[in-house]
Amino acid sequence: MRNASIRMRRWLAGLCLLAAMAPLHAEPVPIAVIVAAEHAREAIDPDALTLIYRRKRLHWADGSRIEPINLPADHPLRLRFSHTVLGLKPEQMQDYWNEMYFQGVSPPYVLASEAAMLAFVAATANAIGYVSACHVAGDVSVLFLLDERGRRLPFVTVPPCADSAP
Amino acid sequence: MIALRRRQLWAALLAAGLVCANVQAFAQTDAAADEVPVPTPQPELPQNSDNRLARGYTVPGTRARIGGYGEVSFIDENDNAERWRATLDSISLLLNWDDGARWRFFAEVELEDSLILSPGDSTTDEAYVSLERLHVDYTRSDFLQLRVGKYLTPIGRWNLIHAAPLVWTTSRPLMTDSTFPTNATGAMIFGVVPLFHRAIDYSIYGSIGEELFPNPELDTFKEAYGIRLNYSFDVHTQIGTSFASFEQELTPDERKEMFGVDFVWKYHRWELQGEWVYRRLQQAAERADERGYYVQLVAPLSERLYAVARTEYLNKVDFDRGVHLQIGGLTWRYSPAWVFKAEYRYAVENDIGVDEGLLTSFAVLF
Repeated sequence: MRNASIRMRRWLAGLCLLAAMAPLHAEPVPIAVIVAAEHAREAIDPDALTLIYRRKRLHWADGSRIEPINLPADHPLRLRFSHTVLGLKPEQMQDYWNEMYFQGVSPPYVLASEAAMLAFVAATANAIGYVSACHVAGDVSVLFLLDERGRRLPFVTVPPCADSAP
Repeated sequence: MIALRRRQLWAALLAAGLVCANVQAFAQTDAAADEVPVPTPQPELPQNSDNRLARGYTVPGTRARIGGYGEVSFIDENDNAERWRATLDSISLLLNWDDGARWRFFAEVELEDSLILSPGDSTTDEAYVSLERLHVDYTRSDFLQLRVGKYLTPIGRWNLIHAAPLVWTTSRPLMTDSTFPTNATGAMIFGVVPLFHRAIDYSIYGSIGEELFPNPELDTFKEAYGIRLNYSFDVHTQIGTSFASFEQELTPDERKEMFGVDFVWKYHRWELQGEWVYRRLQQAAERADERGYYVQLVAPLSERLYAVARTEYLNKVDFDRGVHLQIGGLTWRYSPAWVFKAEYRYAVENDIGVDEGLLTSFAVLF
């Protein structure tokens, strides 16, 4: 009986420890895929997003040319986005972009920060970009949220970012 | 009573107008205060690169981009009395422009064999300018695009990405330029179709000959049509298939049909690639008049050094037996733009006289 009680206490202590560690394994903030208001109703899903960022899909439904924007290759969100959407790290895309260059296609242009991404996408009708969901602000429309596995998430309340500024 | 109500109405309208004007004024003031310049995106430069090579040069204020590549090679043949030959093989210029919407223009002009050095001799007599590509594209949608002009024949994988800095060896697999003309002048519809979470690229093309600025060394199409499909299974694997039916200028009464299959698999800097073609005369459909294949393996040895091995086979028309080639070498990718290659090529049953020996080259993408 006493042994059972000790075992129970150990279990409870273990559970408390796990509960204390839980925040360390919390899911990262979702990635918000953003466009200007002109394309807020565009039918884009994660598969289409992959084609856009591989520059295989070049046009919006109205025929205008899509302008995908990336963050710098060493930006933490770019690394997450590249792994989630393209399945490869930015440096692993190098050969692909060399081949596309030979066919006259360049990789997406780059902006230095999420704040710049928000400002550019809001002001550019044909642009598409991405920011941490907790950084969404201004006149951009969120097409959808992506989790770490590249799955589309429902629009949920996003916890605040650890860093305040995008 | 009515007059009073009218005055009240006018007063209300006036008040509403003043409020709106004030709100608008405030909004304008706020907008002016918040107005910040929109940042300008920059082209992404290759990583680990200390310069702007490998992405071309964008003409300021336009949507035009100029780039290209060059290659210098050194070949030391086993059974040639002259022993070695150094060649400025190619200087190729790429010009690309789009209107930001549906139209696009692309051209590739190449200066080939502009200087050849061999023991006690040098010549520029074999130099010539070749128009590799010159086409205009119109996009109806990503699914349906139209190309008119001169383009690379969409057969197999190597022919479409043949630039020296983008391939692993100095020599080109024989079957990739022996069994079909590498360029076609005509029209093509092409596009990308999403399929099972991935994409299939297709090209359907036709040519009535009349090659634009034909390369004097090539037997060009007299009349041709064909189709190519390429499916990306995942980020690592692609499989393609090609079919073409054509006549060539030097053998105008011989209609040939060609079938091809190709694949590439890339994983953690390893690469396995291969192509297989089977060509037959339409009049004698039961047997091949030319067929071949190659399989190539690339293995990373260090961050920038790779080992390359390739086995090839080609049975050319009018030859009873085919040639087998074995190639082993090293490729040093100093950066995405600079590549140095060295390989040794060995042939068995070499009835067609393929160069054997050491082949080296230096290539740059700019």
